[in-house]
Amino acid sequence: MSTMIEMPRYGANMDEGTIAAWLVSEGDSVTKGQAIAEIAIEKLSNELLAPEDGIILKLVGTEGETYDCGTPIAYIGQLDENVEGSTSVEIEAAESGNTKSSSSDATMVVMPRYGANMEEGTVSTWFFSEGDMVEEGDVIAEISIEKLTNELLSPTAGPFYSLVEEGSTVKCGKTIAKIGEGDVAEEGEVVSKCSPSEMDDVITGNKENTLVLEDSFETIASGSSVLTPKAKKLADELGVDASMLKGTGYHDMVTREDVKKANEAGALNKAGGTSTPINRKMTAMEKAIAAGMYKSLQETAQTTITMDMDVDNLVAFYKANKADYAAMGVKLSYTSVIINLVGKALQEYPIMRTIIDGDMFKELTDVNIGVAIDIDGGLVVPNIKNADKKFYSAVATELAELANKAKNGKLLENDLTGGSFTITNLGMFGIKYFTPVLNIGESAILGLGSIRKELASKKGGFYKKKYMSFSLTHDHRVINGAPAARFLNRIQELINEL
Amino acid sequence: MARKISFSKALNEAMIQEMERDENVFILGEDVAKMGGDFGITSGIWDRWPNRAFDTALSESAITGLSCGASVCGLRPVAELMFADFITVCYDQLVNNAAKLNYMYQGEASAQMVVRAVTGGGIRCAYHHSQCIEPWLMNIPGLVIVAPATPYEAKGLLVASIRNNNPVVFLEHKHLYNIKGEVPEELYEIPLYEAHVEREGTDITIVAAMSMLKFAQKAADEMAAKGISVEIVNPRTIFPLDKETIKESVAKTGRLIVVQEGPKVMGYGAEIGAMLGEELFEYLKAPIKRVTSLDTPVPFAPGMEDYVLPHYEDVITACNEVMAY
Amino acid sequence: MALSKEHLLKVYEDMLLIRRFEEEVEVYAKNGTIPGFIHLSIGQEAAQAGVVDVLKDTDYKFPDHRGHGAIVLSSKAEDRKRCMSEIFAKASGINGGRGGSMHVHDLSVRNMGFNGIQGSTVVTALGTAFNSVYRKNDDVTVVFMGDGTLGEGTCHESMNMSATWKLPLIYVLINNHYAISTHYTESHPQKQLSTWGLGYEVPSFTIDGNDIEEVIEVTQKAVDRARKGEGPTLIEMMSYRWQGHFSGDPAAYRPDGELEAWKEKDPLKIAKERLQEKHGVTADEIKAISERVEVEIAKYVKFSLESPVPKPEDAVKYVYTDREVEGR
Repeated sequence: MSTMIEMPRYGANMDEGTIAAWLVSEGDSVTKGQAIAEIAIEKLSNELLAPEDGIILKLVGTEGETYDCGTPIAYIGQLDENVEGSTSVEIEAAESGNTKSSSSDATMVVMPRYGANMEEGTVSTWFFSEGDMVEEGDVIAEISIEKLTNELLSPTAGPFYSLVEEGSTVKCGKTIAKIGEGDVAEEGEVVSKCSPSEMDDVITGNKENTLVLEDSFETIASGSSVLTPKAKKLADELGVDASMLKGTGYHDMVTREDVKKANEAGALNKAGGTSTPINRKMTAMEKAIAAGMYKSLQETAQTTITMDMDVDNLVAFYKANKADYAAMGVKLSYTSVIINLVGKALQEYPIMRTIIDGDMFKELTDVNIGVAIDIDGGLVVPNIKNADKKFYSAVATELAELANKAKNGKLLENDLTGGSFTITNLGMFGIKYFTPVLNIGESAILGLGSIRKELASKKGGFYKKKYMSFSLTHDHRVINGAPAARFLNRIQELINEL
Repeated sequence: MARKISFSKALNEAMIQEMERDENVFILGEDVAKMGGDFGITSGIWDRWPNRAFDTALSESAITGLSCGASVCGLRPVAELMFADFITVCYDQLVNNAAKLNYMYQGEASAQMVVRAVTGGGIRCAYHHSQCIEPWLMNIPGLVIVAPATPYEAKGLLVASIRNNNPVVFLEHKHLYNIKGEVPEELYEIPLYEAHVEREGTDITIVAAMSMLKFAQKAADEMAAKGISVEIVNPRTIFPLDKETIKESVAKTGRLIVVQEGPKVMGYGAEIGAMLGEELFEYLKAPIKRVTSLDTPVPFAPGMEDYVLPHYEDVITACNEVMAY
Repeated sequence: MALSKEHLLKVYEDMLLIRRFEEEVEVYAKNGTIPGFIHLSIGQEAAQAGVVDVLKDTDYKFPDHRGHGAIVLSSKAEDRKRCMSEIFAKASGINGGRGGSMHVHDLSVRNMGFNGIQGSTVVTALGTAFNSVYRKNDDVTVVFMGDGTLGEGTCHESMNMSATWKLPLIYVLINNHYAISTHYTESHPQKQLSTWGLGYEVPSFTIDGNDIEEVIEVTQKAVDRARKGEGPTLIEMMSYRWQGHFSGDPAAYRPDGELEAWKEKDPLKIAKERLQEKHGVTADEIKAISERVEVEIAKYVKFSLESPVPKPEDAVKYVYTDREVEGR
């Protein structure tokens, strides 16, 4: 008995369908659930699946033609069957799973199909020479398909003859060798040595043959990706073709997240068409930085003064105390110590934290010192609250925490708002002087340069001293040069008092 | 083939072999020494080690409190509470003491003790000798609740529990004591915190512990005859749960039924259901089902008790419902 | 038993140290630096200092919730500042800040800590005492309890078992008269709580808990008995807490004049007078002790204030010995 395959009806409103493409040829061995044709209905395309394991005996329908639903378009059955009523079938019986040439006893060996997506394979090695006797089940060849390698077993016993050379790439179903002395017809018909269950294993990647049967997962059209139920729904809604997506979920299933990413990538590709970063869209953070910098320079009267500070004392303090704090679990840094000192100075110089609000001067009462932190994809300025009232250990600990939060994208709104002054450090890049740009809503920002040794003359001799350049940008509408300079001098005094 | 012994014998063997191996292990509890335990689980230990097996007064707080203190000194007490229902009279020691010691001592010492307790209903003993007590302990971080379902697990999990440095409440279901199964003679450990996939399947995951496992197995057979493939996960450690194994299974099947002997509210079924709702929502193909006791005390009269306890048919109904959804 | 001059000087300094320790703790609790609530034992120094004085480092000590004194004196000198920073909830604290006032432990000196539930350590202490018997050594266990603790059923279970098994366990019951606001005579039928032990045939004593010489003498006897395997002892030490139940409790439930009367029986005052009258210790010598203690306490306070707070995410550590708990 053969089974008739009809033009399917995919919905109540469907009357007819078009065979967009046959995915198999006559004589191909197919397994239940394997896609055998692509059926087009208006704007949709569906796969027609084989209803059972067997051989495609006859393709009655023609590619490109439209048929009423219910019209027979193909027949599937076993090898020893003819299509009922058909006159054109040439396939003849052989042992199950193999085809023998009509003119001799030789058994043909064809390039097997290890999965629905496989079209051709390469004979990477023959394990027997011409005329060698092989037994049924002997490994006669190694077949490679893209990144996979499979062994090809002999379907029967007899003398072995290869018909293609090692390294040849051959379409699935084409004859590549024969077992037996007889002739082989040129159009070697067909046969996969894969049993249906082995086919399943290949398709699902399962070795144990127990777990993941094809029909347990909802397979998306034309591919082997398995989607979670919710991912499938989302893919349908977004119109994403998820068939080829690599899943990142359990059992490599495609998740909603995978579908979303595919959707975004698709949108990007459509919009830009190129992956070079120069033409990419700005992120929200990048837009905010660009707008902020522009606004800052447009709306204030920024000017920068610099001073080379004698930091011998700062370095000595740091070196003397580093270990003690480390014992308490605190990582002291030059920046953290300077924040403490600047906090003290800011406490004494309210002008440095005074801003213009309409036609009012307004003092920001809390000494909340922002620190510019360079992160992937931008720049953030979280601030240390009430830095003037905190111990060295507290500031150092908080600084480390903020840097860590910034790096991991964990900063909270409260960390980023309420600043009254900012410190930015480019010293680690060897920068001496620069002109920092005011943080919006503040009137001063202090840039820290590198620590360097220079010769200094003193009492007729030369000494090596350590210097660090401070670049202070201030809003001249609020802070004139002299107070700004006094502020820097006060910081120098505080360093000297350390 | 390995020899077959009973669940009770497997527990007894685990203790004896661990006591041979480690002289820090000792047993204490009511009637555990000379009598060998109310259920006979500790028989033969006192005869062999009269200085390592102690009958106590009816003082569950003293038993568990002593175990905590002795643990911190490096001993490994295996205390028996007899019926798990009695855990209420030493609840403070388990919850506020044992479960907190490692935290308090910052890892320098911990309550490396096992509290064995006989759990579950079905023996017509009414509400003070039949309860499933695991939910009372399941939100106490620091405790471990172990629940074997077979003789093989009884031995391997008890050995692992004795060797573990956390306080373990080891639940022994009354109905399992007499079942027999293959148990290796040598010492072996079954790792804690790891659920076991008893049977692989693709359509429904059933999570079932202790005596409920047999319901799950029978249901899987019955559903297989209808072409429905059931995967069974036995948690083995009820708390902390092996979330990953359960998630992997349910991701595959998309359908979950939890079979639990105790009342429905706040059992391990509730936790697993909530966890999957949070972490695996997108994989679910049907609502999560729980098959449990009714939310009542366990009554005495056989007809009443049977009415309250979960029924096998409920498991089949749940299977059909999740498949039909 | 009269102590030698040197011995009395030493325990006087111990008592002064814990008095000053708690006074400082009270200052920082009241100004909000120390979070949560604390229970002060000012007025009960003799009972704590005397008992700890008798014990070895390898004896097990279970202080109670009003046990800062026993905790500090059990600690090694270099770790005492970490006892304070623990109460300050700092990372340098002896429990890394996770326990605080009620859970300060230090296993290196077998200070087993308190667990926050009255009557709990009374049964836990059975375990350490049992361990000494099981391992055949002479370490003893002391569990501190109060008059309030005795209301807990675990006290019965514990003494019944320790007496039956002759465990080396000493029950130090500091009777400070009040369980929060309830006077012990309102919740117990006995005139003296030590009679509780007689039903178990456990030697039981009531002593003046503010007289450190008496505390040391009786504790020494109990410890000797325990080391010889003769079983538990109960010592009721009569004393009085000067503060309320917790720092901030005005203790309005006490009759007028009661506190003042007890302040006359200040354990420090008693010891100081004895030093001066019996041993001829001069005011300058007493002053020198005070100055030493002040320097020491100032160190603890500075250390506690300056130490950083613990990393919040360390809260998920040590829940289990062998597995991680998910953090945020």
